Amino acid sequence: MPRPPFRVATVWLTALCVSALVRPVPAEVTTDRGASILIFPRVVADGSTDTVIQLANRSDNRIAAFCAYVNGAAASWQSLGFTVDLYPQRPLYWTVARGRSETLGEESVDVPAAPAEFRGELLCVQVDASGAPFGGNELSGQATLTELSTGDSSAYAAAGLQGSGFNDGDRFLCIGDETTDTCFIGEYDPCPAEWVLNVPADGATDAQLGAGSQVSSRLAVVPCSQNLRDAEPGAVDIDLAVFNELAQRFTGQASVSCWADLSLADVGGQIFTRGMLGTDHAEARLTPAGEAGGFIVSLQTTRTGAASAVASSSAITPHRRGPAAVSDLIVLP
Amino acid sequence: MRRALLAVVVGGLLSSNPASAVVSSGDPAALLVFPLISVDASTGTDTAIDLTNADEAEVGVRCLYKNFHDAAAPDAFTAFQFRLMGNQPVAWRASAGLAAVPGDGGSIPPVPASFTGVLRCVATDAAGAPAVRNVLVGSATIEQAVTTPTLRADSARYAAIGHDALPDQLNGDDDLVLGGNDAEYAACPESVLLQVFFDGAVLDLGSDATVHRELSTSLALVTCAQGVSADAHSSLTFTATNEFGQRVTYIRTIPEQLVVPLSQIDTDTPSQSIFNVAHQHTLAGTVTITPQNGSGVLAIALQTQIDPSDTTRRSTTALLPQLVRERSDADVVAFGLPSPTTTPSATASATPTSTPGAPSCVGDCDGNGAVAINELIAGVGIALGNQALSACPPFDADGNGSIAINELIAAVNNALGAC
Repeated sequence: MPRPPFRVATVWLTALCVSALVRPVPAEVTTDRGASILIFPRVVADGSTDTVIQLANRSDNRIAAFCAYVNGAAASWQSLGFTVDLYPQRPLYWTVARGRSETLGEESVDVPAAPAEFRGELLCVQVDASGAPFGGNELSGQATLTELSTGDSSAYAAAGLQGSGFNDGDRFLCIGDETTDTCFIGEYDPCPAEWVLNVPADGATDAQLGAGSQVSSRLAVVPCSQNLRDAEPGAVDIDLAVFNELAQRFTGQASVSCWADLSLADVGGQIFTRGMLGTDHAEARLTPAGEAGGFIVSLQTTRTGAASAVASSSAITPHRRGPAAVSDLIVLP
Repeated sequence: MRRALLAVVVGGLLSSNPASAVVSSGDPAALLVFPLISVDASTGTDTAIDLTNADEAEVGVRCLYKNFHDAAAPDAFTAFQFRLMGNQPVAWRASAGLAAVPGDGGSIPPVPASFTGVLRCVATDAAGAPAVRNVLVGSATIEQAVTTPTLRADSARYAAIGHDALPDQLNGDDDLVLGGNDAEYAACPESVLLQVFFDGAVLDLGSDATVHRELSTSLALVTCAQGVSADAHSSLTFTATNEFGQRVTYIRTIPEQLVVPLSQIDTDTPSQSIFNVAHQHTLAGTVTITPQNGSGVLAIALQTQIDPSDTTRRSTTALLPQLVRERSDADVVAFGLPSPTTTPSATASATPTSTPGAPSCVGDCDGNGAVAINELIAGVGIALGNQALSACPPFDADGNGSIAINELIAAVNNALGAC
């Protein structure tokens, strides 16, 4: 005997409510735990710099990742997608300028080089054997950039978004829990509500390199929302609050479409500069402005000696706090 | 539709642990661990440290350097404390310290001239007792500058690893319990996983592969537990996995801190090491480090690229590990040397967001020695989340960043009587 429709609906509704109650509070971006989406905000292969990508499969299962180089320097927004197989517990590396085509035992690696003069983002999404996105949380990654003429290098961990436990496997990756026309429920943890940057004031003298030296920083920014299928870049407006060592507050704004590699000296009306801040160090809070979606950043700081006699860089994926209120959407090709 | 709903239900039920206290290098936390602080004038090495209060309300900070360069020396421990106003960052070089933390927050002493050790910092209340304030973020940059034969500089930055404090679990003493049945702070990981290039690997860079860099990696390993009268130790299994999926393991016991080249973990002859590229036959791999006995462990990797044609040209990067699950065993960080003797008080002179020092009278927002009805209303507003704690920090008697019912009752009692 068929069950009355209202009873079925009641059961499903109850189950849905229970599911909502037991669903964990969303985490945020991670750099030290397995994830299902990895975003490398700064990837460069432009003739003067090369980038080494390291991916690892943290699980005992064979998995795959769909990756895409997203060119932020091109006149028009472009992406180049490819799929890599990752065997159980194994790492994989390649250089972005050349890619990697090689046989490892009985398995082959075939990663393309990035387009010429590439400056942009690398996005990797865990997929199942059929190529469907899958929230397995088994990916980790890091990038090392090397300046070819000097050998100066810096490295950072990829920003990871964990799968929420539900994934319908389509090409629309729902990031965050806000219900939209496209997203019934979040498939991936939200992007951060706030990034917390500890940065030297731009233009401050480096204590170790002495008079005439200075410290400067660059911030690579990628909007979390991006439509690779239709080549429509995401855009974000960012509110900046910078605090000097006296906890005095300076504010500004920045806007990013597609991808940006911002010199902090030029951001927000010079609020990151030593001259404006009056102290050698600062803390900055970066938050999506208004109803803007989330974004991912990577910070690179360079110490330059007097007359540019020497330069040394370091990179970090900054701290973050809280889940973004507005959901994001990645559309895969 | 039914399939989608079922997926929602099952997904919700099966998804990972509810958000809870974690150890992480990404989120503000109450206990920060800097696994490697290095100062050596003979090599031009120093460490720049930054630490920030990511909260609106002020916070106390107690820190303890432990020097393993000469752990038997009387100055093996360097303890200090200071206060940070809301949103205040502070930065210093380990060799120099900081004579005055801006805002009259205290001072930071220099470390001994030769220092290879660990720094731990914990958030405290106004009295210097550990507090449930997951508000600290920090990083360290190991820097080098040499002038001969030519000027060269090197920098490697890493984020401090942070342990969340667990609400209502701190007992206020100086033994900080990480994980286990009596946990006060988030547990250390069950394992740490580092993505490395094996020692001796040579990378060909650039589109024509004409730039070559040889790679070598050092690990800085630190036990999660910290002893005062007796050092902690840990017996570790190191598992190297190459790109073929082949695994080799080695077991070694380490003291509280060990800084060691990757290919000298298992031998004094690096070319014979299982962590050398000559043994692994692939350039890249992972190293998983799992405690078997003793303390849990944290780590960072320092990866150096060397120009084979000029080995003085080198550049180092710092990489943090992946953290795998949580330990079930407890690790205890002894933080009690020496006992704090002074508590510097922050002042409100530098910024409108700064706050006064220790609350002497719960609920006395304006410091006039009495609690008025408008101050009680402010306290209720903060407790309900309608106002920031900075509107009246003296309500937060236990310094945990929030106002509980007992603190509101204490304020009412103060309003009825005298402070």
